[in-house]
Amino acid sequence: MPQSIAKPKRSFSRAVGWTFLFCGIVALVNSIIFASSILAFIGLGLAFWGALLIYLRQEKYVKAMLIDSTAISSIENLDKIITELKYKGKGIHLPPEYFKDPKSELVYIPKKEGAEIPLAEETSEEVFSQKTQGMFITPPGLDLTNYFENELGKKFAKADLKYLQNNLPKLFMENLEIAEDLEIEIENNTFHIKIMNSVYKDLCSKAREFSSICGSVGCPLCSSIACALTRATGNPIIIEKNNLSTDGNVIETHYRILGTIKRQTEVTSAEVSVPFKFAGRHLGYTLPDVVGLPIAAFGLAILFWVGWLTWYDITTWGKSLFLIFFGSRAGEAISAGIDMRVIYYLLIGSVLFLSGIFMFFRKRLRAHVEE
Amino acid sequence: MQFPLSFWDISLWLAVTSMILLVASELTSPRYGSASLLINKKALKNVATLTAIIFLITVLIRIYEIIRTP
Repeated sequence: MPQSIAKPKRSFSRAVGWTFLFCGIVALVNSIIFASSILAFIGLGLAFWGALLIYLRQEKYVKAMLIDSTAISSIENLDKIITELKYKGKGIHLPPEYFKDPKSELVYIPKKEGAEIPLAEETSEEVFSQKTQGMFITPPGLDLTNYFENELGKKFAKADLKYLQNNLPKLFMENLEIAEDLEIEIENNTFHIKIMNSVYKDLCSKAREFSSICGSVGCPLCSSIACALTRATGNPIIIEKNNLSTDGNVIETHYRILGTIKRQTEVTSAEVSVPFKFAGRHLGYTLPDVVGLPIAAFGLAILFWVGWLTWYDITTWGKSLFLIFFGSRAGEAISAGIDMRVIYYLLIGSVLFLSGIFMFFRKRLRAHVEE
Repeated sequence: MQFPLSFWDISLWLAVTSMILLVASELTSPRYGSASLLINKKALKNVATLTAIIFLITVLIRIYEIIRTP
């Protein structure tokens, strides 16, 4: 039903786009026939904005309240099941390496409080395990973690904590715009994550009413971060503490690594969950290359030209270096009407070359350090 | 019959367009800016950056021509 409502709006903007484009092309053709620059400007503008309207497709946005309404019933049901079956232990997010099937990624909830992590041989693909006296369920934030990976274009199992520390804030604030700020502090085997003004704050606030969810398995957002940490560290993680500020704007969650397990091969750990689709690289990722290299090349061209000019002036005219670089070039094209001297070109060329090279190599150096 | 706009007219038009697009791409964040404008912000940012780069190329061509002319 919502699709049938949204369709006319989309087709309207497309129709406007095509109309603009058509009128623009007509105006451009007429501008050539009547040699009118005004018509040409109008045509250029209409054609460009028309093409832009067609290219910029509408994005689907939903009200944040819908997130809460959709998820809260499932969370309540999960809480009821855990409470009625008297599973009192804290939920432990287990890494994929823990299971026979590398695509599995589950939360283990022990029957008793303070129970130990089950051995890898004891883990089960079934929900209720007789061997371990606990239950294995899918983490509420598993799909959200997969979505984070798709957006970043990197598997967390192949990344490290430094990568998460650098990229999760950017993902939350810029890519997905689901929080105003995100801070990750790492201390030995604990992680302190602070999320400011998140769209999930109401859901988090409601989930706090369910004792078996908040601070144990976690709400979808807390659980998704736990999954990301589990994949990056390759170790079991528990949500130790979860606080929500009185105004509801700050969610603070403490995670802790429980023990250490030996990683299997990188290949198995990479084959987690749903089929993986790499998102296309954002232009911002390649921008340092796109901008840096032409700037460096342009700077180098200027430096070559200055070198050639110096050589020519010395060999042909026998000028001194001081006169070449600081002498006035009034009346020559070099002065560009603003008394430009060769030294200015030398400085401009050097700055362009060095800044271009710096932009180009900075990304690679950072990537190298991260590795 | 000839196209009535010169290279520099198009350069000026690109400058104005890229400025509008760059400002628009910064103001259309659903979180911090206009929430009712439902467009693909990433695509808008890409177009804005591309237009700005094309304009800068025309500027470079202009500088090159100034230096080259005797």
